Amino acid sequence: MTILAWPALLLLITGGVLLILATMGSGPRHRDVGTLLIWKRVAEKRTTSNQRRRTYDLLLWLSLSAVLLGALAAARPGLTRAQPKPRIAVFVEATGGGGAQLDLTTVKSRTEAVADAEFVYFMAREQDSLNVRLIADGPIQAQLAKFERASSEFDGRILMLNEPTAHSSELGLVIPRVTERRSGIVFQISARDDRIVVKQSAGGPLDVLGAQVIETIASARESTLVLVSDSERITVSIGDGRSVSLNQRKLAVGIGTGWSTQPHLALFAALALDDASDVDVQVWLGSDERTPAIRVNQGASAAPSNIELSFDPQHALFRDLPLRDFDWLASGRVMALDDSARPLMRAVADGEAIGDIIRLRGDVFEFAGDPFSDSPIASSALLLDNAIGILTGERPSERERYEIAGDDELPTRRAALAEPFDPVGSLDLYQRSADEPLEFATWFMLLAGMAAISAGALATKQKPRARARGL
Amino acid sequence: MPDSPDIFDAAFLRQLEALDAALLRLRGSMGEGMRGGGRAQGQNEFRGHRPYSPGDDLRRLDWNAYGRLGKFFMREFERERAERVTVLLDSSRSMSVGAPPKHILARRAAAAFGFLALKRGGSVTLAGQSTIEGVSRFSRFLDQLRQAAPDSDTSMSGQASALAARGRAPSDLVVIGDGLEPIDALQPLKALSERRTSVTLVQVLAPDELDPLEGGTVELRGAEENETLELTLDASMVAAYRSELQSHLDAIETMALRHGWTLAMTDSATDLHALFIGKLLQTGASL
Repeated sequence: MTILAWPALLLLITGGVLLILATMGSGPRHRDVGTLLIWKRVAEKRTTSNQRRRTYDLLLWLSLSAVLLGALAAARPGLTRAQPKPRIAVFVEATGGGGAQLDLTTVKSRTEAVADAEFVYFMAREQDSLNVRLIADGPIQAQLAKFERASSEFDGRILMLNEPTAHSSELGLVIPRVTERRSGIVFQISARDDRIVVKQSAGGPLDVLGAQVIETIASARESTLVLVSDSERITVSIGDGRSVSLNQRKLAVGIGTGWSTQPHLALFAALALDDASDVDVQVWLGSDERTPAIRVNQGASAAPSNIELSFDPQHALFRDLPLRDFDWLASGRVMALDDSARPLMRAVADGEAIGDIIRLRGDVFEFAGDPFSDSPIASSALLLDNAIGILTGERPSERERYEIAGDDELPTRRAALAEPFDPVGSLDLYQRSADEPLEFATWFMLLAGMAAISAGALATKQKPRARARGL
Repeated sequence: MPDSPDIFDAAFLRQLEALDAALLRLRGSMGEGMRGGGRAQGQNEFRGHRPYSPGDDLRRLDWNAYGRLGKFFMREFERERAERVTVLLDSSRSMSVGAPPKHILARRAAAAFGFLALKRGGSVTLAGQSTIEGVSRFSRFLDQLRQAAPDSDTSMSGQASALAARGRAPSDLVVIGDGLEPIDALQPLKALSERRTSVTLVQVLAPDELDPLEGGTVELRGAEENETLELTLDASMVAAYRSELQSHLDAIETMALRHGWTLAMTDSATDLHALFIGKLLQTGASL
């Protein structure tokens, strides 16, 4: 309320003058008359007789009200709410695996240093200390796209990124997620055969248990280390005081009936399969009862004359397989046609299928003969590798020897390689207009107008002579 | 109340002379109801009214009175004789108010009545004072009037009662006052008129008494009662006052008609000529 506004002051002064006049005029005036004879008769007939009644010169009071209300209106009184702080959305890129964050206290203080605002943090994991809205973890570009949509109603954006991305500066002010360059943060571990490859940000030694570093390839930002191990468990320190464990992955294979010949055992050893108990078995070789299984010699003897083979050489079972090394009819067996099984290789005579050589019944491979013992061991090993791969989803020759235990997730490469950078973009705070203050000026002006109109009407109604002469 | 300046100055005296001359001229041009040196002896003088009775001369019916009151009144005349006028001047404090004050016109009217009586060879007596005869002694009458300042506690009705109590009632009584007294205060005049006193009642009211102004809450100070009365003089109150005043005036007029009084009501701002020529002469006063 700008009480010093000139119009308001002038009107208030006028109001004061009117008030003085009202006060002065509020008492009864005196008038001399010859006799009260007639007046007393009138007074006796009216109830207002002798009691003094406070004078309310309606015209004067209406004028005074109009002036005072006008002064109030000119002063523009209103209820103004405190200017709201701008609301800023802050995207905080994860520094650890699975959206894990480090140094959130510095995150808070650093954003507060940027602007005096109300901050809402967007990240992939809930945090007790901050007002957080969740954004699903994923590739950084996907997260930023979600963030852009989710923060459209905010007055500004701050992006705390491990590394600026293309167009990230268009969203708002991009500042580094970390204040110091990170080093020794493992962001990738892969294992094949007996080799384990570890990638980490440069600058830190790799602390590992159960394996030996046999090779290191280092660049300015990252290092690649090759480890070998025959241990069942390897522990790798991945930085930030955290470590992950790698458990050796074994393919548990059971030996069933009909799979105990010398060629079979040699094949078993060639694939480095692990014999397992009944409980842990992932695939059975030769079992008649248990599945998944690879069963041989399932066919009956058949006349081999004029028999041709029908199969799809592109099938996964035949991938990389030197087919010439296999004599699929060497045993002279074929399996009777069975519509309930899926044929992979069929015996055809005179254009008609006379039986199956290889087929898949559910999760059981059925072979009419025994190609594993009748063929060169290298070729047999490939056939068995393909067959087990189909049943288990992973060829023994391609499966990783180690896997990360538990649900531990490694930081992303961006997180591991995070380092300070110069801020880019800008925090263009959208100047939200504060809610209009609740002003009463209009109402006061309206009331003042009504009072003025009433006063005018009253003044017009009064006798001009009486007003002119007064008493 | 001191009279300053003198209300009976030379200009006033010239007014009296002019008034007398005007009345003489009017007498010459009018017949019945007028008297004077130029009129034949034996002609009747208007005395007042009386109620109509069957067999009365219809030429003497007062049609003006019939128009106002709806009743027939007969105008009565008497033979001209030497005029002996008694003036009863209301000197109460109520006559001191008004703009101009009522007592000025009242005393000037009294002086005029006296002057005219003396000029006609008659006498004039201010109630309670010695009788004056001869126009050369008119100044004494003026002195008596100068002494009759409106500061007396004696009411008009009291003076009239004193006159009525006298053994010989005055033949011509001129009562000059505001008439703002209870209607019973006129009862002594009724007694006098029953004793064949010709009563002329001149009512002088101030303009503010006839048409008071509105003015919010006002403390009215009554000079007569020496009391105050606080009233809100809004439009309705003033209207009620006018109505009440009119009722009072109507009551006086009714009584005057009933008892054959000559009645003239004027406001204090009226000049002497208008009072005598315009009002008194028109109402049949013996001038």
